[in-house]
Amino acid sequence: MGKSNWKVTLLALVMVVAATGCSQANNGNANEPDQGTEPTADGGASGGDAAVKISVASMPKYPPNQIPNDYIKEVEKRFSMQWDFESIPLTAGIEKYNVMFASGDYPDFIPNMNGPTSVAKWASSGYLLPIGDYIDKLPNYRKLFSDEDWELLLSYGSTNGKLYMLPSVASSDPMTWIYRKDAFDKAGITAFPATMDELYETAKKLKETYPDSVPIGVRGGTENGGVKNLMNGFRQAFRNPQSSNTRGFWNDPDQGGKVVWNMASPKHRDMLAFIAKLYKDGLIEKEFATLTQDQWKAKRLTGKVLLDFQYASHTVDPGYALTDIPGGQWEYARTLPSASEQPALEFKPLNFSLFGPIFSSKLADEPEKLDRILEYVEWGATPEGQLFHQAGLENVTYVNEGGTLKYKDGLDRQKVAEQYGFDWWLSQSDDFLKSDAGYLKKQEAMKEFAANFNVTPKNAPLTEEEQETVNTTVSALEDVALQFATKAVMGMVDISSDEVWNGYLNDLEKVGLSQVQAIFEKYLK
Amino acid sequence: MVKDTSFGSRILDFIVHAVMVFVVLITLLPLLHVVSISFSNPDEIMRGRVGLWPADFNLDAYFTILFENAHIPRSFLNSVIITVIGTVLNVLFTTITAYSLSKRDLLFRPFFLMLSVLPMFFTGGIVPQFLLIKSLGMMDSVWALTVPVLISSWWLIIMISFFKNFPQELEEAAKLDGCGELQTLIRIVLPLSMAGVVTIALFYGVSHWNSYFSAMLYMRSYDNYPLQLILREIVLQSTMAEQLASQGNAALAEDMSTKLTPESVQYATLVVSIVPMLVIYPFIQKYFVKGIMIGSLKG
Repeated sequence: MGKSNWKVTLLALVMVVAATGCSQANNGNANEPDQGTEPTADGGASGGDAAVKISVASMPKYPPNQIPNDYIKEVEKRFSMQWDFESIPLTAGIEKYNVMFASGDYPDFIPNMNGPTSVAKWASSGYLLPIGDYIDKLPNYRKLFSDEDWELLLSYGSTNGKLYMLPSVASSDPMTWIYRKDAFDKAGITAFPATMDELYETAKKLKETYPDSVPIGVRGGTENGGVKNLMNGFRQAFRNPQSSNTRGFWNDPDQGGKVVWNMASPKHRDMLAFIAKLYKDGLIEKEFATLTQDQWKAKRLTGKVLLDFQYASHTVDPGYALTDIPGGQWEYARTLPSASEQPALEFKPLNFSLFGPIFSSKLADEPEKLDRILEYVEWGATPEGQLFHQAGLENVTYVNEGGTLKYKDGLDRQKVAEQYGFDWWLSQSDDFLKSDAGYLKKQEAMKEFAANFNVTPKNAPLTEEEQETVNTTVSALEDVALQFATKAVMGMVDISSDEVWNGYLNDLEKVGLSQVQAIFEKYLK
Repeated sequence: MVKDTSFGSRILDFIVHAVMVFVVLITLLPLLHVVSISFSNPDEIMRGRVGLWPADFNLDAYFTILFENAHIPRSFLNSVIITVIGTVLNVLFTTITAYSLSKRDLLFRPFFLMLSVLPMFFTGGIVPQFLLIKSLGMMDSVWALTVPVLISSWWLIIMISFFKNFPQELEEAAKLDGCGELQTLIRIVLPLSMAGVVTIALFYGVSHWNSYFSAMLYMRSYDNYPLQLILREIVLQSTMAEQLASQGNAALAEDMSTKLTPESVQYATLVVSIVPMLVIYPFIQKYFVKGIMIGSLKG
C-alpha cells in the first residue's frame, strides 16, 4: 500500500497544482516589455520603408468577419506598418479595455475609442499620450474644426489640461418637430404653430380630422425612456433645454445665469402642467411610459402619428417612409414654438464627438512608430482618406457612376464594414455622401435651423471623484424626477398643487440635489 | 405507505399543488412568450400582438440566424466545442483529484485539501489571470476558456464526499484481482459513480455554455466568439444606443438605434441558445436525480 500511497500523492499534487495554479497564479510578466511591439524590418528593408509592428485594438460598431481584412491590409501597405490587430466591438463594452490597461498590456493605438469617461481615467493613470502636444504634426486633422469649435473641443475633450484623444467631426442632425404635411393640409393648417397654445389647437384640429390618430407621437424606450423622449419636445418651448453633457445643469439666463437643474426648475413644472393637459385631452400618446421603440415606429408607419419631435433627417429616411399612406409626406419645422413671448431656447449642438483615436503613452519613446501612426491619422483627415475609410476601395466596395459614388450592388455600410473592414473615421466623406438624401437633409436642416440654437453649451471638467458623485447622484435624481414627471403627465399627482411640487423638490434634496449643484456651480460660471 | 386522506392533508395537498402550478407557470410563460416571438412576423411583434402563441407564424428569424448571419452558426459551433472540451476536461480532472483526496491515508491530505478549497475564497483576480493566459500563449484559443477553470473547488468537495462513501470492499476486491489505483478508479469506481459524474458534468457543461465573460476577455477573433457573447452583443445594442444618447452622442445613438437587430431575431437566437441544454436534461435526468442527492444523507 505504501507504493500506492506515493502514486496517489503524486497524482493529487499534480492535480491540485493544476487547479489552484491556473486560477490564482501571477507569473509576474506584467512589467516585461511587450515583444509584439518591437519594430521589425520588412524583408530586410531599411530606414523609412521598414514595416513597423504596431498593436492596434479597434472598437467598431460592426465587427469585421475576418482579420486581416482589406482595410487592414491596405493601411499596412500604404504606411509600412504591420498591425497586430484586435477587434473589441462597441457592444462588447469597455471591460476588456479596462483589463488591458490595468494589466499594462494595452495596444499602441486605438483608432476609434468611444468612451470619454474611460479615456479620462486612463489618461490620468498615465497610459495615454497627450496627443494635443503633437497637433502641429496633424494640420489636416486640425483643419476639420473651426477655431471656435477647437476651443470648445479642448474644453470638452481635455483631461488635466491636455488633450488625450482626437475627437471626430459630428454630423449633426437637429431635433425638431416633424409633421405630416398631408395631414396638416387636410386639416387646413397652413403654418406650423409658433406658440404652445397654437400647438395645442393644432393637435386638437388634427385629432378631429383623424380621430384614430395620436396627434403627438412619443418615441418609446426602456425604463424611463418614454417620458424622457416625451419631454424632449417641450423643454425648449419652456426655455428649459436639456444639456446632456452636464446632466441637465445649466446657467438659466432667465434666472440671471444661475446654475439650476432643469428638472427642478419652475419652468419644468409649467411644462409638465401643459403636457398633462395634452394627455388629458388625448392629444399625446397615451402609452408613452411603456411604449417600445418598435411600437412607436409601427404607429408612425401606419399613419397613427401626425407630429413627432425627431431628427430632421427622419423626413427622408427610407426606414420611416409612409409607403402605405397615399400622399403621406413628412416635413420638419424650421422654428421651435415657444410657450411665452420670448423665443424658445436650445443648445447649440457640438460639432465634434468625443469618439476617435487614442495613443499609448509608450509611443513617446518610440518616435518611429508614432510618426507612422500620425502619418496615417493625418491622411485619414484628408478627403481622400475620408473616402477610403467610409467607402473602401473603388470597384471593390464602391463604384463611380457618372460622378456619383455609391456602394456596389448588394453592399451597404454594415456589409462593407463587416466584410471589408471599412467604416467612416474622423469625419464622414462629403464626396461619398453628396448624393445621400439623409446627409443632404441634415446639412440643409442645420443651416435652416441655425437661428434656433441660441445657447452655447458649457463644459464641466469634473474630477474623477466628482464624476463618480455626479454619476451616482444624478442617476438617482433622474429616477425620482422621471417617475414624478410620468405621474404628473398622467394626472396621478396634481402638478398645480404647491404641496405636491414642494414634496417633489424635497425628495430631490434628500437624494442630493444640492450636493451635485454645488459641484456644477464650481465650473458653470 | 399509508395515504393520509384527512381533510387537513387534502387542503395541504391542494395548496402544494397550487403553488407548484403557479411556479411552473411563472417559469414557463416567459419562455413560451420568447419562443412565440421568435416564430412571429416582425410587424405583429411591433404592434404588440404576440402573446403566448405566435402571431402570423413564420420562420424568417430562424432563416436569418441560420443562413444570413454568418456569426451565429459559427458561434454556436464554438460554444459546442468549448462546452464539450471544457466539460470532458473538468470531469477528468475533478474525478481524478477527488478520488485521490478521498483517500484518508493520502500523504499531506489536509494540506492538499486546504489548497483545493482556497480558490473558493480567494482568486487571483482578473488582471493577473489575463496576464497569465497571455503569457502562456492561450489567447484566442479554447484553452483560455477551459484550462483556468479545470477544477471547481465546490464540485471537487462534492465528489470527494461521493468517493468517500464508495464501498471500500469493492476497491479491495479489485486490488486483490490485480488492479492498480488508476485501474480501480477507471474500471470499478467510475462506472459505479455515474450519478455523481454525470451531475457534475451537467453543471460544468451548463456553466461553459452560459459563460461569456472569459470569452470576452480572451477571445480576439470574432470567428472564435461563443454564442453567448454574440447574444450579449445583440441584446446590448439598444442599451448602448441609450447610453450614447445620455452621453450627448445623439448622432451615434440614433445611428445605432436604427440598426438594431430585429426583436424576432434576438429571441430566435435566445431560443437557439437554450435548446441544447433543454435537450440534454431528459437524457441525464435519471442520473441527475440521484447525483443531486449526494451528501444529503449521512452514513
